[in-house]
Amino acid sequence: MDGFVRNLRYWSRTVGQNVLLIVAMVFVISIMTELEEIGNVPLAFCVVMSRYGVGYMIFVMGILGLTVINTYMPFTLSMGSTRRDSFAGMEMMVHLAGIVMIGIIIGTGIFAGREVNSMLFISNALLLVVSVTLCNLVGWVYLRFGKVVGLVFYVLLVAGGTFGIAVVAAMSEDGVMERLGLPQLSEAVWWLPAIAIAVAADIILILLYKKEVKKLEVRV
Amino acid sequence: MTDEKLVCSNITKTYGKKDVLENVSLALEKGKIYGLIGRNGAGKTTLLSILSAQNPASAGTVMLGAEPVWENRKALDHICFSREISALGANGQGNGYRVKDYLRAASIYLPHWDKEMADRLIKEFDLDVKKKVIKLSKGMLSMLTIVIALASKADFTFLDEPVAGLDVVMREYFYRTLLEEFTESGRTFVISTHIIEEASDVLEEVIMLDKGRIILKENTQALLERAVHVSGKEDVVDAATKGLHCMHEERVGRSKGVTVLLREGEHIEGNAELSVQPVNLQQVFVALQSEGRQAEGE
Repeated sequence: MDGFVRNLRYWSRTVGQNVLLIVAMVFVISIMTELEEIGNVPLAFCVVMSRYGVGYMIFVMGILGLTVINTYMPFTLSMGSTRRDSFAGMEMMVHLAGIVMIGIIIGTGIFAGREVNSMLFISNALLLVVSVTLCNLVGWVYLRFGKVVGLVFYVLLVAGGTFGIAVVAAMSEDGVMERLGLPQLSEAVWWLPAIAIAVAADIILILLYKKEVKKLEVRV
Repeated sequence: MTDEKLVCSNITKTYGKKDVLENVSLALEKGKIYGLIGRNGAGKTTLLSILSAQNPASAGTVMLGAEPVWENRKALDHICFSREISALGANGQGNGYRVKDYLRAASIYLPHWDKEMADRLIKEFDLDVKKKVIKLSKGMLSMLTIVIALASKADFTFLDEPVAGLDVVMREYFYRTLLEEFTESGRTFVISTHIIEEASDVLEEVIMLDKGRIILKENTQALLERAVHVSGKEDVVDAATKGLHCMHEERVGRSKGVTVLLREGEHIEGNAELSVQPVNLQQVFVALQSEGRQAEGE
């Protein structure tokens, strides 16, 4: 337990600093882009987060994926941590960072007038799992195939993912999905892909640890 | 504090098709200062990385007493490998850390971390803790390595090229502080270094590595007592050194000089025609390397 606790102490500051930086960035962007229209700093922040929160989540988690496994993790190993403890501490903190960001997205969404229902929480829980998995996937690709491939993968995922979400959101808002005759899915059906995504996330996590992290080397 | 030995058995490390370490077996005892000497690429850093479980071996085991070291926090709490810090950082990434980040991480991960000692050393070395590692000179990077190693208070402490880049005053200070710490704590230190002659005064035992193999492991004093340089006319030298372990021959005209490692029971006397002189640790190392190259050439 000692080793895990040491890693929680180390990773909490490291991951926390990264997340705070992004939230600060969002705050500044919201002031610059929405303040004039909305005229209220907290409301402007809420509108930006609720509108673009998903994109920022994917952006942050992808960046974490590039750095935590490739830079910070070897550093912890060089200080005498085991791979098991470092990985567990890292994953815990990445999840926690995701939960904090989800909390901000939900809170700002409610403040900006979004309806509070179960879909709000289900969709954000899914977002948490997807974004943490993205972090692990990006880290894995970076470790396995090198810096350039990792970066390209990250950019494609972030750009592709953000673009895809924006398109689906726009289609829903404009009623395109209805006009195309696509069925309205009940909430119960969303559980199936949610469970599938959660299972896939666990598999990716286990494979990442067994295939890459267990044999991670520290080099000067 | 542990009384156990750190033992590695048949360690092999392969990268691609190349064996960087080949069947290395070694026992490090408590309360000694070892010197790990070898040419560039001999495998010194790799060996220290494996002994401290920072890198996995391709084959073989490392045990601290009855405990395996790999992925075992109980054993790793007694070991500290303060590796050479690069401005590029671990694994080639830009090193964005500051000195205080290293000290903070050390205080978290090293269970016996001595903050007072670290602060004293930082002050002595005049290191700016807020400075980014990428802005530090080579000497300052070495100082940071030394601070972490000494303040770790680990039973087995490994230092990789700790004096690289240090000026002579700081090197003297390092050796003095190392000896003080060793006398006070009885910790085991393993120091890999290229500045052999300077370090030889503090090294109790020397381990020489060549192309991934240990070619010699011996008490420094005993080694120096049995290593001599014999010189004179070629035929006189050849007669005097017949059957002895000769290395590194030098010829100038009709004169010949050869470094000899005497085995137990052997001795050689100088006279008017034959000069027998003691050699230093660096000369022994160069002679052994030369012998290795000659053997390869054959």
